[in-house]
Amino acid sequence: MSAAHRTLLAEAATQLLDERLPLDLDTLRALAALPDDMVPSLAALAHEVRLAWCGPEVEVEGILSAKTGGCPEDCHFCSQSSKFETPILATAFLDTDEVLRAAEETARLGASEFCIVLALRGPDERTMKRLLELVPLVREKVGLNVAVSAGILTDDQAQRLAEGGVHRYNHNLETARSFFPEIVTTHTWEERYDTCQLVRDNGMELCCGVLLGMGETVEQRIELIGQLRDVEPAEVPLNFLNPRPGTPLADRALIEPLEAIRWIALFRLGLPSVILRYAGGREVTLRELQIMGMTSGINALIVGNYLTTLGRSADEDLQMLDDLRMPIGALSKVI
Amino acid sequence: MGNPLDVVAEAMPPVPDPFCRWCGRPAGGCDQSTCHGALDAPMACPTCGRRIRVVVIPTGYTATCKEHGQLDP
Repeated sequence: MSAAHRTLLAEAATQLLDERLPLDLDTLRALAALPDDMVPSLAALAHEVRLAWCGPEVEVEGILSAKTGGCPEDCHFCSQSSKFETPILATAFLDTDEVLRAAEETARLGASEFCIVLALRGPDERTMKRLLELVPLVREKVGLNVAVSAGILTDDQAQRLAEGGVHRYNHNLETARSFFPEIVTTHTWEERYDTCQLVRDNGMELCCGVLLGMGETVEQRIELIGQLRDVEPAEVPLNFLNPRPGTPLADRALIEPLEAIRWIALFRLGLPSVILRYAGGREVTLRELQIMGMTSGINALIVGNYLTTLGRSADEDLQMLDDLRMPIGALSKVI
Repeated sequence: MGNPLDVVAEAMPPVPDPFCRWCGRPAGGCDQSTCHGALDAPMACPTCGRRIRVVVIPTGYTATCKEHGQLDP
């Protein structure tokens, strides 16, 4: 560890913890270049920043793929795209009872948030009606905050979902604007950005996630942090690519565990006030370092299974939080 | 004392599925260690190899074949 590296970390700590000012992208770029043996120090700073800006609570969420596969978009990481030969069988919108059962199971795990996810470009009128029936039902019968992820929205749709009780709307940027055309060709990064704006303009919390490990450069990850700042999300789910059979990214290598920890820490340092959620791919990417991620800036997690893949057991995650003495709680963005 | 038939059943090697639960190929047609990851839900019926309807919820999943009904997890 060189003196220059120690100084860099100390200055970042002063700025974030004492002055409560965000770091500029040049500083994040310099921190991204720290040697591997300094990643634990970087992670420790990120943990301090998370506690100072967000508090000790960890938000637990369950997600459900309520309409799986058959998506007309070509997101190259996604096994639910109809453009690729994947083993996923397209299934229609789940029955109300199936959605309620999943929400009840989620509530039993101590979660405060339940996200209904649909594989589609954007909701048609029939889908909107189903969502507007389901959201109040889940809220009233199960008592969870309800999030929705249903693709690109119009202004009218965003307004109706907000009025219908959607607490948080998920719409990921996924990757940097400069890399996006390598990953998706059926819609633009700007269309995603516009939906993110509509979500906030209509009063819903914006959940805007990323997926690391698709071949983007370090510079593009820094670019992405800057672009996330522009859309001002309440929550950023941090996904790591878990290559899916049949997709164009099927053969990509996983991010190495320590590199994943580095980027968890950098996302926290770059976005100090957001809810930074552990999401897909963490089990296969981090392996034994999952607990380290919780002390590297993460303050929320998706518990149990994902949309089409399984996670580790909810009991293991809840035990991890208990061992770390991290209380479970509902979070809202701290401005 | 336990049922002697249970003891016999435990001693017998498991019968292999006719089809891979992940890629749907006939038994022996794939290397099951590479055609699925550790955290993948099954995607094909082990009896007929058809793609199956899988509903994943936070605490588990159900997998149903159009022909052979719900599969054991």
